[in-house]
Amino acid sequence: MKLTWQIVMKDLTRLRLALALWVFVFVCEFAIGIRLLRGEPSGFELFDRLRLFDDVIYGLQVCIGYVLVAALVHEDPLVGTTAFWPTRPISGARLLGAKALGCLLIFGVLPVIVTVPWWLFCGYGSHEVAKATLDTLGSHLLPMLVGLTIAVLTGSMSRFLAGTFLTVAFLGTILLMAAMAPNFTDLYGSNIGIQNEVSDERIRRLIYLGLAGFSIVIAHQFLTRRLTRSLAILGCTLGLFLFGATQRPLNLAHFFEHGKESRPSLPYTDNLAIEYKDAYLGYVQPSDDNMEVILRERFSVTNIPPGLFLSFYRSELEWSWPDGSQLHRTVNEMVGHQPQLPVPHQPPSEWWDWMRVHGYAGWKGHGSYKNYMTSLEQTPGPILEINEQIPRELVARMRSDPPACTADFRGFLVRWDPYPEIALAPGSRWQGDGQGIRVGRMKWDSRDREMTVTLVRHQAAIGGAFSPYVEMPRLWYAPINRRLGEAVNWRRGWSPLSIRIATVAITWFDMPCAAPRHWIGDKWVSQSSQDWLSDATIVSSVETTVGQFARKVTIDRFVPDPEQSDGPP
Amino acid sequence: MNIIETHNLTRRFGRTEAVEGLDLAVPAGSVCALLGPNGAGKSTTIKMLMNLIVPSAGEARVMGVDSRRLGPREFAQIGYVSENQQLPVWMTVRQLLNYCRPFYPTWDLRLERELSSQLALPEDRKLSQFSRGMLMKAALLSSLAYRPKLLVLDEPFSGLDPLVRDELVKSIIEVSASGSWTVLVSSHDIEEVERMTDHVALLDSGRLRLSEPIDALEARFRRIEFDIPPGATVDESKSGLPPAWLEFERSGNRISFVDSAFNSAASERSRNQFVPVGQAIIRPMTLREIFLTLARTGWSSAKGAAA
Repeated sequence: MKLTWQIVMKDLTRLRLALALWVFVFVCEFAIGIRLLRGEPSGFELFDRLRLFDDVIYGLQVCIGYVLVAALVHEDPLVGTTAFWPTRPISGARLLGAKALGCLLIFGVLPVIVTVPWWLFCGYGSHEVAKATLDTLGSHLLPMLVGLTIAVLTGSMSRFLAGTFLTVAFLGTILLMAAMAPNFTDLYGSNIGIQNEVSDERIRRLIYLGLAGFSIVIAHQFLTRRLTRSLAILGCTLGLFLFGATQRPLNLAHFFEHGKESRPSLPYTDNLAIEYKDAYLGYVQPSDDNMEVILRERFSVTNIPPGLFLSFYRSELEWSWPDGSQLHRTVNEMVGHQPQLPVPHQPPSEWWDWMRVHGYAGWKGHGSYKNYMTSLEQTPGPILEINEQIPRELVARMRSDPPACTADFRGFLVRWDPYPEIALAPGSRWQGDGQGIRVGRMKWDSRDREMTVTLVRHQAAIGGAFSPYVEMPRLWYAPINRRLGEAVNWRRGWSPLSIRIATVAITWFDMPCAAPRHWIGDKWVSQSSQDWLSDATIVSSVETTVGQFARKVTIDRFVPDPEQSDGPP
Repeated sequence: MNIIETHNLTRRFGRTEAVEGLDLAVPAGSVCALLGPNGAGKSTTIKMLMNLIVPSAGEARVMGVDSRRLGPREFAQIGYVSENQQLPVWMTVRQLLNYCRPFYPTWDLRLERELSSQLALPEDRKLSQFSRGMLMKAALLSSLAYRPKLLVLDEPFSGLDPLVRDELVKSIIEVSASGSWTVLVSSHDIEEVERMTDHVALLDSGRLRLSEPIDALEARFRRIEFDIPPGATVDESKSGLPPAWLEFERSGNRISFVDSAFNSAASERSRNQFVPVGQAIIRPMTLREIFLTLARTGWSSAKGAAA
């Protein structure tokens, strides 16, 4: 160990200037974080500037780390016949141990030591620090291991950079080819029916496969210095990687198909029933020259298990006429029937009214069209609504010659659990379990009240691939008034700004918090925002997937209702 | 006992055979020179001996161990200095020695100090500021202070100016004298090597042309000149000449050649058989002259002559 340490110390001495730069880059990043958390939110422009600065710093960090690992290896190169160490009493195993130790110190211990004060500043407890430490080690591992692999197969920095260029070109070509493949945009997540967790798991396994292969190449090269054989092992690893990416259960190639896949481990529900209710035309501006109209189909959903909500990932509709002509539509974006938050004492049947009351249904009035269209994401209650844009002639044909229609729905059953809840007042904060919320400023304008909320949250790198902990699922935030049983829903258009600094995600967002309006008689009536907000809180909800469903609905005669249209009753 | 032995050692680079069927033995305690022109395969041989490259065929044993299995235990007793070796030039001499010292259980601090003053290296200057000659000295210093059993020098004089070269040779001779190590030195600089070696191996085009003690080599090579008596006839055809006679030349009545199997009495008999000669001028040859003779006449004559 003493001799191994001797090599490590030699390397650290040699790289001391680069290491100082490495630490400095971390410190710069923390300075940005402290500025964001300490300073009063004074404008999103500042945030944008700091984010840009942070991106530059992060890029520097990656580049420095990447070059640093090469410099570390090239201190005792493994390729060529001119290195100093092979003719000295230093075994490949000892050198491997020394370099591994060096990597651990440079890419693990040093960043963690530098980062601990930052984590403590952000309110991390020991649990979060442990979690973030592992994540930090892991998040540096991937770029480091790629760099390390190229470094052990090259003998000089110029060759290392050339190797990197070739690797980037190779990956770029693969990605370009993939991007040209159909359905590339469905690569990730629920669009094709794979839960994000499953996608994460698959990508994680591929990453592990790559890491294992790279590790073998590195170890082999250190122990034998047989370049040809190491390159052969690397080739095998890449081959396995590609093979794994195209095979189940590591099926990334599946993303390029049009098929769907469900997660077998999630139980299917039997009782859920989806029935066709009606269809009508959505509102289209009269001046709109677009010859397409919005067709809205509504389905009633019953027997939803208590306490659960539906999250659709895909629905397919197919209209067919007796003459054999067909119209097929896939609605990837439809995730209807997803409530924004569980408001106590509000039965599901009231969601629709609740939505309308709060102005989120589309309507005509007040001299202009309010573009608060009924968001599919916000379609409430037992009514599932799908929006389609189809040509006007087709609607006419549907009315004159009603087609048969088949709707195929697939989705997940999700549970929303309220998580932390804090008072809606400037300066109020909540912190714990690796995340925190802080209400920054509250801004008033003529129509709405808005507040800026700073959100601090542990966020693992690379999809948590290196975190042994299950990451926090999706979160939603909204102000609610428990006394009145009302909530202010998200209005479209808010743009959260987020920075991730050493596992800490800092997010600023403006949250509209004007009191909900009520539809009384034939007009909207505002409540007193001050009264409404006086006992309001911010609640966040955690989404957990607990089951899945697949339903097919057949409609013999599909006729859009000519009478209905968008708008308040 | 031989400290280095190779059997049919071969190394191919693609279709090129850099070393071909090399059978070499370096006796323990000797100072052996591996000579040959550029591209003869000297460095390749040494790299195979040091396990820096793997033989394509055959085997090499260094201190009784297969060269492919040389490990820390063996390298703790081997000193290796090469013109191409990348020293950690960011270090000072002191740092280099401090770094190397713990790896060698036999490191001799007193010897380190002696060598240090002998080689006159500024200890606190970075190696990057050193001239080529000083770098070689630093490498030598870091390879001798642990009293290696085997010192391998690969083209140590290459690119050095004569003054530095002379100084380095002197240093090697001095340090060699102070220890009981075996030295294998490869070079194409024959004159420098001649001063310090007692065994020589000649390589050409990857093949070993001769390997024998330098005394024996120098003893069996002689340049001989004599005049043909008037009226005498001589058979100058190749078949008429003894095979050990190389570079046979006639200029008027003067005959000159190199006898590669010189033996006072036997050589005289051969000469007299060829043509009755009264008095011949017999001159010993330097290693360089022998080398050039063999190079000019084709290396195949070297072994035959030796035989």
